Amino acid sequence: MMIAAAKLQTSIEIDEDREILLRTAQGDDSAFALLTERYSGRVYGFLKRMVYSAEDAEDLTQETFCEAHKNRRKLRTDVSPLPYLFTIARRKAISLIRWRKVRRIVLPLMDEHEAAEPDAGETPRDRMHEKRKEEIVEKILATLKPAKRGVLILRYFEGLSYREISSVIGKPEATVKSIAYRAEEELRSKLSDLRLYE
Amino acid sequence: MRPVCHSIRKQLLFFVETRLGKTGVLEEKQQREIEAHTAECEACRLEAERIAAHLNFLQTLLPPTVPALLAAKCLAAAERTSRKPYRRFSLVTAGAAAAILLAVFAAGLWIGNGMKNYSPAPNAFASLVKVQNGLLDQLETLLRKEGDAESQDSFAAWQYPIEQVRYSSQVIEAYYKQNQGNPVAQRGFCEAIYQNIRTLAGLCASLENEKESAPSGAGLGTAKKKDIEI
Repeated sequence: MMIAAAKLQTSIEIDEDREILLRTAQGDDSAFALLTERYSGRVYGFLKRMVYSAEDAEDLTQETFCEAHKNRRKLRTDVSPLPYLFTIARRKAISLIRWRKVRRIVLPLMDEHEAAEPDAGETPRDRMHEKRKEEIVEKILATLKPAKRGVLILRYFEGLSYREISSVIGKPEATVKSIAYRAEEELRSKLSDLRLYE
Repeated sequence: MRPVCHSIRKQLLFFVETRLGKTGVLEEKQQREIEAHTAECEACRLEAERIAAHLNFLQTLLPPTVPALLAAKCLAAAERTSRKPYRRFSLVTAGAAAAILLAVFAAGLWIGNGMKNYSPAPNAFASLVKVQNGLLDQLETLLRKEGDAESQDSFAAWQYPIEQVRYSSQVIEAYYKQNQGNPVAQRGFCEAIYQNIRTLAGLCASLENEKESAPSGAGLGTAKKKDIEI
C-alpha cells in the first residue's frame, strides 16, 4: 500500500515536472519560479558537497539558475530537469575547484590531528563525538578528486541513475560505473579508518 | 584472491545496490551468479556486507541545510541577468578586485616613499600589457584548438579565470590612464598587470599538465583522464 502510494506520488511529481518544464520552455517566468523553488535546494546540496563551502555553493547555485533561465527555451521537456541542472552546476563547481588550484587556495580539510592514527586511550569516535557525521563525510569527500566526488554525490546523495549521471558528466555509463566503483572503495576506506559506522 | 573473486569484486557494489532495491544496475543473470558466488566465498560475502554497511550509512546522512530564501535569491539573480548582458562577476568578485587594486596601490605608495625618484621605464606598462594580451590570446587559441564537440564542458571551465583576468586588466588600464604622471601609482599598476601575467602563466602550465595527462589524440574533454582511469 505504501509502495503504491509512493509510486503515485512520484508519477504526480513527474507530471507536474513536465508541465512546469513545458511552460518554462514557452517562456513562462512563473513556471521557472516553480522550477527554482523545487530544485534550488537539491542543486545547492550537490554544490555544497562538491565545493565544500556554503558561500561558494550559494553563489554557484544562483549562477546555475541564471544559466538555466538564460537557456530556458532550449529545455528538454521529456526528461527530469535535475540532470540538466546538475550538469550546469557540476561544470561551475569544477571551474571553481580549478580556479582555487590555480590560485593555490587551500581549504581547511582534514587536519593532521584528525588524520592521525588514534592514540591508545583515545578512539576517533571520542575525538569526533562533538562533530556531526555529515560534516566529517563532507570533509572526506572534499579530499577525493572532483571526478570521483561528483559521481559519488550524484549517485549516493542525489539518487541519480547511472544513465542520468552519464548524461551529466558526458561519459559512457560503463565509465561512470568504473568511477563509482573506485570512488566508493576510496570513500569507504577513508571512512572505515574513522569508524563512523559499524 | 582467486581470479573469479577479482572479477566479482568489481561488480559487488552493483550487486549490493540491486539488493538494496536499486533497479537497472545489474542484469538478473549477473545478479544470480554473484549471489551464488557470495554464498560459497566468505571473503566476497564479507566485502559485500562492508559495502552494504557503507551505503546504508550514507543513506542516513542529512542533506546540507539550505540557506534561507535561496530560491528567491536565485530568481532575483536570474531576473537581473535577463535584463542586462550576462556577466559572470559577482559583487564579491568585483569587491575583491577593487580590494586587490587598492592593496597594490597602497603598496606602491609605501614602496614609493623610499623610492621617490624612481619611476618605471616609459613603456613598461605597455610592454607588460602586451605580454599579458599575448598570453591571453595564446591560451584562448590553445583552448579553441584543443576543444571539440565532446569537450565543451571542459572548455567552458577554463573561461572563468580567463574572463577574470580580462576584466581586471580592463580595470587596471582604466586606472592607469587616470593616473598618468604619478610614478608611484604607475609602478603599482605595473605590478598588478604582472600579477595577471603570473596567473596566466599558471593557467598555461595547468593546461599543459592536463594535455600531458590526457592520452594522445584526446581533446580537453578527456583531460583529467588520470582521475577517471583510477
